[in-house]
Amino acid sequence: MFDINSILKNNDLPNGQAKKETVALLYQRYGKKLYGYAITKWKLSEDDSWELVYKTLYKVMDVGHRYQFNDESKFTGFLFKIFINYLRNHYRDKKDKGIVTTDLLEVHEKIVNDRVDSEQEQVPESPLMRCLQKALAILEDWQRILLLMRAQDHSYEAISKYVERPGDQLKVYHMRLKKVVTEKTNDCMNKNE
Amino acid sequence: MKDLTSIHENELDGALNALFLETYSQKEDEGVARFCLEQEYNVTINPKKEAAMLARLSGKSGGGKNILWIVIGLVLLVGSSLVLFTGKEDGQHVINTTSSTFETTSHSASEQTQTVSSSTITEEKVEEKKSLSTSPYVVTDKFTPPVLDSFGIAKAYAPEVNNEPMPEKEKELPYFNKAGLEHFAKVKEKMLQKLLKIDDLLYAKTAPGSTMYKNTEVIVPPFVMANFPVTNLEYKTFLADLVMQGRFEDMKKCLPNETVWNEYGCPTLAKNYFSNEMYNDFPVVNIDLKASMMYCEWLQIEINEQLVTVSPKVSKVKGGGKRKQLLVRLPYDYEWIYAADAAYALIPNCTGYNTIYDPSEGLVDKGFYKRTSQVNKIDKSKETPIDKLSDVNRFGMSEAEMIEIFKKAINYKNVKSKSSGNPAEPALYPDNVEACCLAGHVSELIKSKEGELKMRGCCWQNKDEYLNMLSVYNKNGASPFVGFRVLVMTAERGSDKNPFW
Repeated sequence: MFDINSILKNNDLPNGQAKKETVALLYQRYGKKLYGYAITKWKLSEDDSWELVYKTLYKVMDVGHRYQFNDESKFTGFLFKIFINYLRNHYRDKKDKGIVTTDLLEVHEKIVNDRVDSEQEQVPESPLMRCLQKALAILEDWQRILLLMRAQDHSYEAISKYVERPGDQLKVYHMRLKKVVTEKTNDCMNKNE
Repeated sequence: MKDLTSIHENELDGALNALFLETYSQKEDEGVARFCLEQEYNVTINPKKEAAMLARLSGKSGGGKNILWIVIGLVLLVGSSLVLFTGKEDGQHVINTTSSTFETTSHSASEQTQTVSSSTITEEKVEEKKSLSTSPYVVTDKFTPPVLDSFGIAKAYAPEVNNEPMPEKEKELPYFNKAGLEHFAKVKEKMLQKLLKIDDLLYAKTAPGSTMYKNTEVIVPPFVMANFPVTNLEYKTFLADLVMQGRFEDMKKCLPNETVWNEYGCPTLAKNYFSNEMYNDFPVVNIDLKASMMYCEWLQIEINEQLVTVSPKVSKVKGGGKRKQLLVRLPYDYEWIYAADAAYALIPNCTGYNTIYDPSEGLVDKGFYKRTSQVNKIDKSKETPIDKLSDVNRFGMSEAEMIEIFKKAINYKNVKSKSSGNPAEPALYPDNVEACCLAGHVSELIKSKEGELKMRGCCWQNKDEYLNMLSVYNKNGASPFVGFRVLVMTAERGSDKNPFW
């Protein structure tokens, strides 16, 4: 059985070999996938992807031994959250440098900035994000996942296994959901809720 | 005016992705994590980079402390280099030591270099450097004289003379011999690959949107703009390719008019700025409008050919089965304004005259200035010494002062890249071009929305100075203070998911 807790504790021992084994194991099991995910779904460059994988695994090895994970699934959630955190920071940093690699955050942030009085230092929470969140909250879990995963360009086939719905129907569901969510988001923004 | 209180369905995916990052960076979700990590991702893994990352992780005991020490070391190294290079006479001994470092990276193989460089470079090393050299151009028996003699630091790259008998036509050419053409063919391949992949070091994707231009809202389609002006190396590659295609007359028409440097009392730069490899990563200057447009046309043809031959699958529009055609051209002024407005491009934060803000042009409103200033404010905290060089106005400086600025960028670049190979080696393209392009900051040729040739420029001391430069430009059709960059876009709108290629 894959015992992540003892693997992470081994890493904390002053033993070079144990550390190498932990690195190899974490990389093979998670690092490669994260790398592929960063490259294909978030369109990051090779170097940026390696950097994010490095930071994530480093963090996991650095703090993971302090936690007790009931099973591997809990650990996967923990690791993924760290990765997404770095990914989000990466986009923010890139934007600050004026070197934008994708068009993900700019549209809605631009909308916020346009609304904010330029004298103000603090940028309030984006109305778009708040309204989008509200619109998603009324959906069923599988509908929300379909929208989020499809936005990352995961195939309907892959999503269908996860949401347990026939793949050939997902496209229609997806189109309808996009329409509904767009309308509800716009309603919410217009009402300034 | 675009309704800012609504979102279009086509923009929903971008917003959902943004929300995904916000949500799952704070909340653990085993299901989503498992889903994302269970998928098969078809990516090619570079074994060297993979090994480097694993090695970094395995030796992690120092962790953040190690990184801190590396940063401190680098800062000290760069700092000491700058201090050493700013000292002139009294620092002669030390300068020589540093110069050997510079030469190690610049791979000068000339005898003169060996004499000047310190004894740390053995004959063996020089031989080794010779074998690494892929220097392509200058078919002359004389080697180029040192560029920065007055500083006793950097020596011009003096390539070996190719003794092979060459056809008559090749001998007539000013820069290219057989080896040179082969070399530039490799650089061209790298250039096209980077553009095809939209390498984020060199290019920035700009999402569609709208901006206010001359008090009117203009819809801006998605485009990819180069992060830097076209460099000497890229331009030489273009010229070499014209030669390869047998377009000798076109090549001659496109040669930079380096004599314009003389108008500003810069004979050394006139001789070396374009031809010497040490300036490869600086913006190409002294190019007239026709030549810059020919460059764009050339790149357009080449990149479209590359799309068909290298990535036939990538080049298909989803569903349509029709190939995407790319357009390469100079940017329009409203595209620049949009890029700066939406924080895709930064305007140097310098005082003085900036063409965009010129009230007589009426291009932008007050809000634009406020927004771009805010972006600059954020960026200021991350400013490096080289970033500051971008704000420097070189107009009116002496040649020695200009060379000193260029030299700082070259040394910064070399320290940063720790390049041990030949700087002209195609595999190293692009070799930290940012430092050179910031230090070599130029105004740029653009077009107005009506198709009229314009210049976008900033950091001019005042408008008179800018007009002074412009009059020299108009007289010669070129200026050492003017370069250009390319903008690439698809000829027809692609899918909303992938508006690029």
